[in-house]
Amino acid sequence: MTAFLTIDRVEKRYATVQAVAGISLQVQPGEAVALLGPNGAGKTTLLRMLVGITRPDSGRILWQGGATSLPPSDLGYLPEDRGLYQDMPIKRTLTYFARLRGVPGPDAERRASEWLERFELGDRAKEKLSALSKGNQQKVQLAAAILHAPRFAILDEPFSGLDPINQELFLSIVRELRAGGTTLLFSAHQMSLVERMADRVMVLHRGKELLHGSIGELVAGGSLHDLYVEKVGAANAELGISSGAAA
Amino acid sequence: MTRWQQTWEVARWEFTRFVKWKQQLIGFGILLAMGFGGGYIGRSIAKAEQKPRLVAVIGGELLGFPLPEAKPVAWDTSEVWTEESASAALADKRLSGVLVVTSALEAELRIRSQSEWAETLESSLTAARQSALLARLVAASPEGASLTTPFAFRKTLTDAGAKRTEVSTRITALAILFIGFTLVMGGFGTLFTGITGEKQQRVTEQLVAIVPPQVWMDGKIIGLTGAALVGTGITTIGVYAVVKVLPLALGRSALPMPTLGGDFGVLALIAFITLLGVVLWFSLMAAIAATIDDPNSSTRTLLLFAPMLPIMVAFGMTSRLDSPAAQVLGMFPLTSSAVMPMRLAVTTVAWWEVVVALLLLAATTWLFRRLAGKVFGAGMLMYGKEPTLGETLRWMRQS
Repeated sequence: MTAFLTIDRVEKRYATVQAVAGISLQVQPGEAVALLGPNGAGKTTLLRMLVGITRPDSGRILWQGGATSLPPSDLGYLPEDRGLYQDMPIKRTLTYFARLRGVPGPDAERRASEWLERFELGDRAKEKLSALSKGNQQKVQLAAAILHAPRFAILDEPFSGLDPINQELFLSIVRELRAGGTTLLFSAHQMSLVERMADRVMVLHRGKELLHGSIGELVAGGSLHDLYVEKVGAANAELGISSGAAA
Repeated sequence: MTRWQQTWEVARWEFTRFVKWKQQLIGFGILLAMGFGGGYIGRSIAKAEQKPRLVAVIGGELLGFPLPEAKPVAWDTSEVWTEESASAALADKRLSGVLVVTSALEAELRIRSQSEWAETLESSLTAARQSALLARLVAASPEGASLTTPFAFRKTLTDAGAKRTEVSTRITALAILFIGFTLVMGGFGTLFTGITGEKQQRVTEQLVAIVPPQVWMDGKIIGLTGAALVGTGITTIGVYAVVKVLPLALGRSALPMPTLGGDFGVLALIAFITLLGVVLWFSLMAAIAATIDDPNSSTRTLLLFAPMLPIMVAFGMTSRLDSPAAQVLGMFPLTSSAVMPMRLAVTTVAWWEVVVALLLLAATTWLFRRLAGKVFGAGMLMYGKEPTLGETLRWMRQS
């Protein structure tokens, strides 16, 4: 089967920092792959290269066997740096993002309404984003990333800053997306959620692959959290840095 | 979705973000109210100034000419004044002043305190005396009549393509230039807010994952130019309404306004060059805005004043619009949008100069918009620190 995404020995350096060092990864259609790693491991840089915000210094990124980019209508992206127009009504903002991704006007409005209803924000559709709480703003942000029903969704730390109830809500939405055929690549620090959401995990450390395998293989007889702490701790010790410094 | 469709979508969004019709209407209402209030106050002041100032004359026959009209002064001839009676009337405020004429060349005005109308009276008396003397000279000399005849002067243009521009064309051209200037200066605030605000709100990363930086920048320039056009258009209509309509509503005839209009072809060309100039400056400013992280602390916001350069050059050239320097500046892309319209309105411009100016202006606009897209693409994720020129150039090469 042709992989949906092929990352082939990709490298990226910022001045003196090697952000990504020769990462290779294949994501199959319908799969959910999690990128884990301490802060500064290179997860966000890798995800940004996939959506074309930055370019790799070397290596290749191929979509569906050969294309160097994915059409906006097929790609959903939730960036780590959250942000939407604070001074604009939320429904109009969602409609705008959907239209930019090629969803026709009336359909875009309908989908925006549906997602706002789903997030129990239907009666606040005309309010400005700045009037919403941080958690509700994050819901709008997720809706902006996925309301066009992308074939491939890249979510950079989707659960950060969410309370447990909203984490569960996001998890159920991501599961629905997967059930609808969306392929998923995401980064996260919440190991218990990763275990419930991902088929496969890649742990990055200082831009390099530290660990890679299916959830079933990796957590057999233990927990992802314990494995992560053990492997990252060992990698830090090898480099002579404390775990606190790496995190 | 094509690039054009995405550009249009971004332009539409930016336009609707910054054109709030309700606020525009409120602004328009405030403008009218201020114009109405200003007009009312002005009329009240004018009315107060028109109150007649009664002035008694003693020894008026020594002047040798009739007392001139010198509003608001009204000559009080109700009685034969003496120095005593006039002084008493001045003291108990029945008179505003007493003019004591001592010879044909000399008089003294007695007033209670300094008054502006006293100077009007002095100049009126001087003018009346000069007119009387001139009339006597004309009557006394056979050639005297020619003293008041103007010199006969007419212009003939010998170049085949040359044509005379009408005064109305010149005035309309200046109005277009002024509107263009207002548009640029007024639109910059919106442009800076539109670009730096998005960076500060961290929207750019989400957007650029959907549309290429160049599409985003093009859409922004188009949308914000449209927004600036609407804002300036409404202000222009408001000012026109205040000047033309409100005086009528106040019961006075309209203020004297030059007739706008003239040669439609020249005016259309002037409007096009001005608009292209606006887009050029918007593109350059967009590139600068893309390197700014926080407009509240950035020293680069001083570059906002850069577009004043062509306007200042154009106004500095007003008396030398035929000079070689004006010819060059009329084609140089950073000044042509201001100098060329002035030249077109006032003097004869060769067709090739217009073509060169348009081509250079269009090419530079295209380059600036590409520059804006590149700079934005390179620096969009640079939060919290402004890139230096060297860093910006390096990123642009890499992008």
